[in-house]
Amino acid sequence: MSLTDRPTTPHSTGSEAIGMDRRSFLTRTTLGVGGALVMGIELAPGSPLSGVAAASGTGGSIGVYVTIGADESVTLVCPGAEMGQGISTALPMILAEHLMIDWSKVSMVLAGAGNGYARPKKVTSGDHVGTWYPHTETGIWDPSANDKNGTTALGTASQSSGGSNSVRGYHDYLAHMGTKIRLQMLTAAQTYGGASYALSDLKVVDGVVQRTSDSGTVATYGELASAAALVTIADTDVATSMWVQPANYKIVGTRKQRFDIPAKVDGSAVFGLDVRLPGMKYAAVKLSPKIGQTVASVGTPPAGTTVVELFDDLGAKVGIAVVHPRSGWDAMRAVAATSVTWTDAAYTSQMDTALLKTKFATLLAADFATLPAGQGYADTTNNYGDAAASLASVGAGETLHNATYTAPYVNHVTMEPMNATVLVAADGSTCEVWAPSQTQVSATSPGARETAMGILGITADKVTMHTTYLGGGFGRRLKNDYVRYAVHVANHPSLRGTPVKVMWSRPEDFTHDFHRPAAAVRFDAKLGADNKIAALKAKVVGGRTSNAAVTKLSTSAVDGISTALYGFGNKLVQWVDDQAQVPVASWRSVGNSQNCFFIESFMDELAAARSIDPITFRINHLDGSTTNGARAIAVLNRLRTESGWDTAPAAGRQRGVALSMSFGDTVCAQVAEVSGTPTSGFKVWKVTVVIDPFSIVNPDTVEAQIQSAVIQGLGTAMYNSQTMSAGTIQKRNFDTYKMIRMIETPVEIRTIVIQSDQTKKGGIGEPGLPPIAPAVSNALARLNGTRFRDLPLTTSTVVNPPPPTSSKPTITTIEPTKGPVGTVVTVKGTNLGTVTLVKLGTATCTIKEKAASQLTFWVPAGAASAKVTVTNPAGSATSSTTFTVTKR
Amino acid sequence: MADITTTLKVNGVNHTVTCDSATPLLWVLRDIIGLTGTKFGCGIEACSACTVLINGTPEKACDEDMAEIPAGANITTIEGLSANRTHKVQQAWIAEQVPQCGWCQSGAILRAVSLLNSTPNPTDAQIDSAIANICACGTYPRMRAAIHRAAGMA
Repeated sequence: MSLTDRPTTPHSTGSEAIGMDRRSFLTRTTLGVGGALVMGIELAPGSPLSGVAAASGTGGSIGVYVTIGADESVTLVCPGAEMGQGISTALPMILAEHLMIDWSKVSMVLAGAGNGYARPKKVTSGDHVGTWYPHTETGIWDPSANDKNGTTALGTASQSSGGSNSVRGYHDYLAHMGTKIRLQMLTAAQTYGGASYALSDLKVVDGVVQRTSDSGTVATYGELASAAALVTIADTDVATSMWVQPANYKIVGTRKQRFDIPAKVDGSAVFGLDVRLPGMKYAAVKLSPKIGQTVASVGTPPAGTTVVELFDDLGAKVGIAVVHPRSGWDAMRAVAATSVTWTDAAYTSQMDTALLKTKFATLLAADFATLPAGQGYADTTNNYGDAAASLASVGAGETLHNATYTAPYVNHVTMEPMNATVLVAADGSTCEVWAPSQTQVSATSPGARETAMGILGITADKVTMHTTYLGGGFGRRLKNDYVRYAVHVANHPSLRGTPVKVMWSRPEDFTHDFHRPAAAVRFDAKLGADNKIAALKAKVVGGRTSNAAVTKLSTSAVDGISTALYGFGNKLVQWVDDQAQVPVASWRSVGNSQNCFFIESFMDELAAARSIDPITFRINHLDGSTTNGARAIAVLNRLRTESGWDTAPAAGRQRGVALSMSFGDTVCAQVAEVSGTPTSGFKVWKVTVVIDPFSIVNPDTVEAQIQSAVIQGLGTAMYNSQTMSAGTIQKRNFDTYKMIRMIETPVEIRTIVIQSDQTKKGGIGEPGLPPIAPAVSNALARLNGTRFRDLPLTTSTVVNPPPPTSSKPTITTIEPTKGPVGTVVTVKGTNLGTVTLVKLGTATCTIKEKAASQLTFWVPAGAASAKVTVTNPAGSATSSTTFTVTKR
Repeated sequence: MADITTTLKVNGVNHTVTCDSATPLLWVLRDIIGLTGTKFGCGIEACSACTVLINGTPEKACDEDMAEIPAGANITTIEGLSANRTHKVQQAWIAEQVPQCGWCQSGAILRAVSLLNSTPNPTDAQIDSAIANICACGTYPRMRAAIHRAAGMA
């Protein structure tokens, strides 16, 4: 397929940067665009720029990061996945800063898959100290021989965007690379046009090499590009002192508009589901209706369609796809019309919320010492002292405290459902993948590329990967199960040579998620006479982020408790594997998302037990003599001021605080100001966030990510739990899995960034999420005098009450007056915009939309024919007409 | 189910399409006409990602069967809102740097256009009750700011 056949939009699929060896790169640059001569520079493993001939046949495409045109245009590649977190702008900003170019000339393309785009490391020992892998001097880095750089095994290549790791993971490499190319430009300029300058005679201003003496132009980067491409500079000759120093930054730290946004306001951005290829067919999947089931038999699909069986990574037949030539909807209809019978796994019926709650309770109560072998692990790295002995001995002025907290399974809910488009060559020898994947390359995860390699039995160089924009990630797309299914479909003998887009309906997306795991904790603490925590014991149950059998502590299950910054007299963290087979994986902020709720709620309980101010109590347990302790104290002190903590909140409101440190030691604390109760509904008026991620790249993106994390964390804490009944995932769409909407969003979210160290970078995408749930819960507890220990916080359908109204609702009509479960009923009348509860007889209904004169709701499962009652804070109204529930 | 052939006027252009009569407008737009700016989110009219304007009124295309579309109706999708993103709501959306992942934004923009047509200077409360679109990234504060900004633009 030629380049012109592909879906291309500005800053979109990055096909120019994909799978391109140097020869094809030069071919393309010579041809140029529109007949213009464009010279390119590439800095990539194995390129002449790094002193090695371009290798071939060793597997994997090489990384191309920089292209400089004769017209001074600069194209920078984003190696990671753009899912809204802004790295497709932030990473080029770093590169541009150290290249010292004019930002207005920069454009961006997204990388495909290549070892050269893997998150790099600097080699710190062995024969090649100071070089970078995958940018090695021995050729293209081979993940199967990962110790070739020296004595240190470097692990496998990972081109993956997760763990808030992109800016902090790529920063040093991009700074190094930008500096190196700048040195190549300067070296080429020394003799440009027959001149002879010393390096010290030259400087760079906005992509122009000038004389230091009079700022006269020597040559532009565009003029120098072809000569600079022949200059060799060793990695070891590029010192960090040659990087642009933070005091001189012109791009990093300034607000830059994101490259991806224009295409996202006019519909031209190409997400995975938007890929369109000549001759493309559409497929829709039907995966097991219950957890763990496999296909027993498949019926006949509708005429004109093709059915393909799907297998998981262990070879189990887990579902089917039906392929239709015309549209995704036709494919969804066809798969719905194709019958499948299923076989339960031994554990299927045990995957049941009620049973699992009992199991968790049993494990919480069990004696840790007598657990079956391999089920319980102590955190030997982070435990200290003898908490058990301390808790067993209570002296004068000492008090014991305990509490149990729980968090449910929750879904990732990317707004773009899972999908991938794959073209397998007619002979099966090569493959092209278009996918919204967070993990393009990984031997262990596996990546999208390795997924295709494994199924087709081909090498990395035979897979061409196109990373599209991702309609949400949140950790869901670190997995490539949807790529696997798409490869199975496209590899069907009748479909080879034909591109197939394989899509999931929203219910399939919900029922085949890898959940944030359910978790529970029992805390036992002893407060000393000095009001400090003499001992803390935390027994965590569940929370692992993999379904593989475990043989050691799951650090993600205890993350946020083990890693809490507080110092106690004695600390004991234990973890108990729940061994449930509900699919689990990482969800934004991973273990921190529930564990911060647990420990920060309990910290407030302990502060309240001694009537100590919650911020003061926290600071009393932080060690200001350590770097991170001092940063946390500074964050809390700033938060105290910025949130107005010491002033009285408005009547009926209260404030709560929470602190966390996560993802590269980013410290984040938040104060939430709330009114209401979890049972009658609550509102978050204001959230003040103080965050210290050491230093930042794009302030606008940082603020956006904090808003995002606060809102997603709040919505999840307010509403979300996934439940199972005898193996069946129960919440399958947005009528039952409630998402936070604008009307429930905090009225104000204010972010204050502290940059405590310009030489370091912490994570941004996730650290804003953990504190919001405990900050809100702590505020509710202080306001109501009752502690809320179970997520989600909301225990009724009444949420986020509008301001009190003096007018009761009235109902004039309901329309329609009959229909099956799932019917959308429109209620007309007055004062309906303030309605918080709709009932059909005794059945509580989910409100779809409401305005003053009109309200819509869904007829819920289990409802019987009855009149409609609507309630607002001033009263209720019941329809005169009965709504008749009919069978489907 | 039976195939029908009909003409749809989308963004001022007539398209003759053949599809099953029960096909929702969303899939005709995306897969048959090829206008993928309108997004699939839930299929049950709950998330509003598929919002388009039919004769100026916001409708959810995922549950708008072809048979239900009035003859000769003018359908506006995100691609037809303006040339080169010049509509004031698009301009405001860029100025406020609203989108994150971007999947829900086409629907939110069209809903905002409709709100501003009926309520040129909406209050926060009017915006909050009008924009019921689900955005999992939580771009709501910036959507709100962008609508206020657009309201203030000529």
